[in-house]
Amino acid sequence: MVQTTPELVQQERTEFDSPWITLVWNDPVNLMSYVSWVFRTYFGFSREEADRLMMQVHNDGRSVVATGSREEMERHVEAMHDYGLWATLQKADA
Amino acid sequence: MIPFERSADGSIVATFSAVEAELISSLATQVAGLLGSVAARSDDPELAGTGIGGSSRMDDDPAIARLLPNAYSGDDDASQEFRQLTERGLASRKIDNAVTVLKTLAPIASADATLGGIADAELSDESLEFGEEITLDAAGALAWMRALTDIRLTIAARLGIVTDDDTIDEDDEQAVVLADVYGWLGMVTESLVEAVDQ
Repeated sequence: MVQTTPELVQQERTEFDSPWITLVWNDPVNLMSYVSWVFRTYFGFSREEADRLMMQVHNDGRSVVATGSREEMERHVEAMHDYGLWATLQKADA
Repeated sequence: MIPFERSADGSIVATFSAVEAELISSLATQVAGLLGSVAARSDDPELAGTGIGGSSRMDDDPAIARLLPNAYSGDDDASQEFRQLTERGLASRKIDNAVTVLKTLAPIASADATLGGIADAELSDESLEFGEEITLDAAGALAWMRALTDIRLTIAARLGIVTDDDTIDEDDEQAVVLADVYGWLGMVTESLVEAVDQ
């Protein structure tokens, strides 16, 4: 018997049901410390992961911070707008 | 000003002079005013009066457009639909944050604060002689962070700072003053984030 790892199940479900992503875009206003703090407090990322995503936004102009259903991504985008971060959602394959 | 720090009992404290408090209050009032025009409008008569709703498209004013941006990348129809449902709520919550800042500063700032005071404002991080302490709980600190961010986004839009490489026109006196305020607010925000993060 092969035990399916929870991680794999999660990944498959995500790809099947929810081909939507939340993107956070770089802007010249928001402080790096604030963006990292928002990523940690809102999404629950570790400091290391939050800093990595924040640096990706800063260096690459944008970063995918969440993947899931369209409704979930709409909720995340609205929450990011509450924080003053510039975020959008789109289909993952768009 | 004495920047934000976390006190022994866990609350977040800072000290602002009357001039500084009036400056922040004036800016918070202006941002709330900008958003107030949005919060009051709705293109959907069915939703008008329900508290939800919004307009059909992004505002022409770059500051409002940045505070209430499109939700979908590259899909105007979806952005429009989402905006019609959520814009008023988002604008109202941002106004609430600005009001929290105004209430916190009301004991320090005088009632007749105007933007004209900016030119005379003496902004510093070391003037200990004057000023009163404000104390924020966790909810207050969150409202302050968001409101300060909205104020800085608004000023940046007014100054035309849209990318990391944008700079202001050094010959434009008003822009130089505003950029000074913008930089100072960045320091205030940074200290607040650090204090909250401790």
